[in-house]
Amino acid sequence: MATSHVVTKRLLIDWALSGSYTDESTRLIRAEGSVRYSAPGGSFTQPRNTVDRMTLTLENKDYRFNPFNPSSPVFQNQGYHAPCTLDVALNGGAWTRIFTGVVKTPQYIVASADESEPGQISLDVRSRDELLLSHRQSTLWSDMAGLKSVRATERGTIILWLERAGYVNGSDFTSASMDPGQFARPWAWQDDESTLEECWELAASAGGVFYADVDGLFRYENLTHWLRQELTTPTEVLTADGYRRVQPRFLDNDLASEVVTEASPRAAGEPGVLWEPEEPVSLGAGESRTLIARLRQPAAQYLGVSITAASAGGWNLTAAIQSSVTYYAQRAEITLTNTDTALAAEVVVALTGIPLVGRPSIERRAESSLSFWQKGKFRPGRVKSIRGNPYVQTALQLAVMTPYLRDRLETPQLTWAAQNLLGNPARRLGDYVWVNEGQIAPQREALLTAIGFRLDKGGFWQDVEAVDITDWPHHNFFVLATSQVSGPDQLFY
Amino acid sequence: MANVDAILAGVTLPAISRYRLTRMDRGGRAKTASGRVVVSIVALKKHRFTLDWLNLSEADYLVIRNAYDLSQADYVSFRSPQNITYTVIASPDGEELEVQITGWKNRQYYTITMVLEEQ
Repeated sequence: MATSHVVTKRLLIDWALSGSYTDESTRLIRAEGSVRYSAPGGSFTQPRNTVDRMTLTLENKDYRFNPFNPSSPVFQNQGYHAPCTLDVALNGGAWTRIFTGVVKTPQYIVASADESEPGQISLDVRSRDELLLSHRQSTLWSDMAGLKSVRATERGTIILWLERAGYVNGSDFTSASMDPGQFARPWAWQDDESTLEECWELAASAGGVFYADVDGLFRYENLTHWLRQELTTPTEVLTADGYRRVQPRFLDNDLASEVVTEASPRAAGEPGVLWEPEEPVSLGAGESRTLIARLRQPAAQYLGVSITAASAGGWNLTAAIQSSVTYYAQRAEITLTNTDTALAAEVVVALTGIPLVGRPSIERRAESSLSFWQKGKFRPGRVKSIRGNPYVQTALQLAVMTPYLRDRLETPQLTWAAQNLLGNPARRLGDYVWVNEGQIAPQREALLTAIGFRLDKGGFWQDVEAVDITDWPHHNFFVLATSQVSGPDQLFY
Repeated sequence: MANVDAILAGVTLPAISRYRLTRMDRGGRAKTASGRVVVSIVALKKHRFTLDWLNLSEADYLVIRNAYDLSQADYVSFRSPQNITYTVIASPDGEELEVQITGWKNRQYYTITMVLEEQ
């Protein structure tokens, strides 16, 4: 275990969003931030994640970052969403990234009566999730139908949505950064919704996580991702020699004696009118207008748009109305053009199709058999109900997730929080570590779920949190064509 | 005591009465739960200079003040009394240019302390 290290830092910001980065390392006074994600399976109970953040303090005595200076990179907020990377090298070694993100609005520290360090600028930097959070998307009906026809899993769906948002396979995400999907979902769509939040929910419906990592890559990690690394050799052993303090925490937020889950399968309903405007539309001679048809449910299939039109005097102008339609999963954009020279005073439009209907109709329960819960009125059971994720659509999802969560939640979840570790830029979320604090517990196994860092004139230090997996089943799995049915190997749910 | 006149930001300084130099790695230290000291170094073997002048005239004080003003906002050249040139900044941790003024027989004497740190 290292006693000391020499830290070099490199801060690059693409102020003009042009792909050309400026090295701001010499101005960096302090960088502080954290990255975190859910423990394996935890996302199923709490789909909403958080966007990781970092705060940079930069030297600004020469007013280089003056927002009122036309030559400043932040003049008129031009630097909003500027890509930014922070790398650290130890002992003259290779650069290793500890954060990739985009700059939000700067905060200034200017001279004031009680301010001892004027002439600095503070930048709030968010992980690349920030870009997807504000990106709203509606799924084309053809995309939704295409996903269904290939029985797309969460992986295929997330990749399609990323591509539709303009992200590129090979640079924004890779085949390796996207774990295999675990469940084919008949229907998946967005309707003017945040792409990030939908990807979070979709990943969560399989117990996985979706996030932008410290290298800026979008990742999907499925429920079994943690089992894909070598679980015999830890990336590090956390001992009293390495941290200032370690704290075991038994969390009972989600403690449950019984887990109840539900799925909402969807199916095609009865054909009919999906949408019609509240009032007839009028179109002047040669006029074009686009109508947005927002549907109560997505369409399993569109049958078409029927149009009838009449002039103010009652002449039939139906043949003069041309239409073009863009079909989305849960909306349609209908553009009407009146090619006649007369006013089409009453244009009646009806969008017909087959709605996709569904409701929570599959429920699964799993109850703990631990003696922990056999304490009568002194320890009444707690039921954890998990409902409402639209991407939980199949009984198979419940068959895996319900017993898995029962086993995770039937006792308080143990996590370890270790503070003030000598910084190591290679630490990554999900790293398999051992905790060997030497006083209250024998050696424990854990996975890193949060990494906080501070980098300033006082050095490079990190705090970590790790979920304890010692008692989880994670060894000796049944391997197809290798294990014997009668052998000791087990199945993973 | 000086071998040569010190020069800061191109300004030749009055003869220095006392000159202290420290040299160490810059960074932070922490004690772990086991009592072990761990060190995170952000800059290796940096020099820090403390310059003292005793009982200067007002004219000499103004020379020093001018040099200080030139060296507190950005890194400048510093030729030490030992005739070694460094790149330094004044008041690296927000220290002030410390000036004590004493008087005797209608004259004022300036005692000054300035801190510089190598880049």
